[in-house]
Amino acid sequence: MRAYVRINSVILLDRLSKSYGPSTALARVNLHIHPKEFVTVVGHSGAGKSTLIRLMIREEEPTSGKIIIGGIDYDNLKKRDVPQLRRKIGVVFQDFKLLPNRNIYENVAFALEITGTRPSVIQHTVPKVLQLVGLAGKEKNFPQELSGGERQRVAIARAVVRQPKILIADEPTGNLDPKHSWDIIELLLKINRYGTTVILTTHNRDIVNALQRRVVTLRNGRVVKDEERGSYDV
Amino acid sequence: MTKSLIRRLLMLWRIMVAGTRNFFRNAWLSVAATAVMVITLTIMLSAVIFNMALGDTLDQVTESIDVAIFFEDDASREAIDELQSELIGLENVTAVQYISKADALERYRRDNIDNPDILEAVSEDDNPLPRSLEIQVQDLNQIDELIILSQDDRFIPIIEDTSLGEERRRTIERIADTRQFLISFGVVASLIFASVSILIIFNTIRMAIFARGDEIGIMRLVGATNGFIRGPFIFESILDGIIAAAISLGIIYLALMQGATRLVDFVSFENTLEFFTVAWPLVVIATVLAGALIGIISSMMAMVRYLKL
Repeated sequence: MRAYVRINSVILLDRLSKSYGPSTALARVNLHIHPKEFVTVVGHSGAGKSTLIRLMIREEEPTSGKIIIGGIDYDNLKKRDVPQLRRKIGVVFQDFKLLPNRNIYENVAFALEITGTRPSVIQHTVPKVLQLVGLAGKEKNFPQELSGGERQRVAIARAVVRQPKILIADEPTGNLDPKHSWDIIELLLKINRYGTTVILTTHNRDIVNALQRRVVTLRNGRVVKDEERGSYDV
Repeated sequence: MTKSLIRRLLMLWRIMVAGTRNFFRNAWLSVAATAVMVITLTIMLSAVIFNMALGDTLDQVTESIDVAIFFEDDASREAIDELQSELIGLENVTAVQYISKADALERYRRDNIDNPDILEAVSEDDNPLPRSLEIQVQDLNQIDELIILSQDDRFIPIIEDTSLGEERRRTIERIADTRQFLISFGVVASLIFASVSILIIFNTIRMAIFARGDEIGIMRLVGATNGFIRGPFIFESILDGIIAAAISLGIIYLALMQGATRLVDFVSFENTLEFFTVAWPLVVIATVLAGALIGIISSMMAMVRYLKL
């Protein structure tokens, strides 16, 4: 186990547990993640990866334990503060979750619109982010006109357009072929190089092994391995 | 302007844009919701109009009723004065005026100034018009005392005739009954149709919430506040209300301009018409507010029930 000084952690999970009735999804998970780290969380289906992420984005509340992310102690988080929290964490999902009746530009701009960002700022920022994810020129396209890989890039653009400290990518390559998967991983690495902490969950052995980054392995809701340069071994 | 105010206005504008977009996306449901709301608001406005117009009619008819006692030509002035002073003593009587034969003739001539034949039939020398006491009362429905007094043995010999408004009183009762009925009908019908409106808008919003479940989920995940998610639904139903108000106002004003002039002989629409023309901003604001309120109530109900945030 790695020991971290609390104050340095951008994400701190302390003895985090979550049960659904009699079944335990997470059991006393401790996890400290440094700023600018790139952490991959691996595990079988049902190992607790999704629960972990749902707890981190406050889709659900833990049964016990502590979550502090970006200095926000979830114990003190009121329901009405949840939107504010979600604006600080960028999230990318396996199924992209794009708005089907808005074009690419509008999908990315939406993340800024809901925070009351001025139109001039939006017009300035969105093209830059689309450039970053390699979608310049596709602004007017609708999600259904894009490939899976491109859609995931839109989702990533939307997640980072507000320049969050943390980007959580939940199986972002789950629906993609190997080539597109690598494009997405490289994009995440690029975003990580710019200083964003990235948490990636994946099933993809090749990706994990090639990344040579920190790997946290979950099994039956417990952290069974946490290695600086880990490999895929569930 | 402070930054936070600009931000709020910006958010409000974006909510309105989203609500308008949803309104058109839901076009058919919106039409249904708006149509029922039109009926509701039109009934409400009609009830107000009939209430006002019939109220005015009542006042007018009441004012125009003369309560008067006419005297035999041989009645003594003393007896008339005695009756006058006793009339003034009655609680319901506010004023009593003595009309001499000359006064009566003068008034008769004035009333018939356009009718020379009638004018020729009477003259100072041969004046058939009786002397009278004209009585102003507070409440026309309570002139029983007056009738009893006029039938007193002392006065029967000097009284030629009375005009105590029996005929008019029946008319007034009819108008009052009609007005009462229309008010009750208006209130009941308004309530029924308002409920139907609420139900339909409620369902429109409910279906919109179901149809946009994914979208709402995404909005939440990227950090939209509950207000920003609810706002468009509320604005959409406010829009229903505003459009319905505009249509009902159109109907009502058209009906007033066309219909009121035809009914003017039977019902006094003058004040109502004047009110609706002079105070039109008030009428418009009240109607729009009523429509918007119905919209807000129904969409809030739907969201409390179906939009779990």
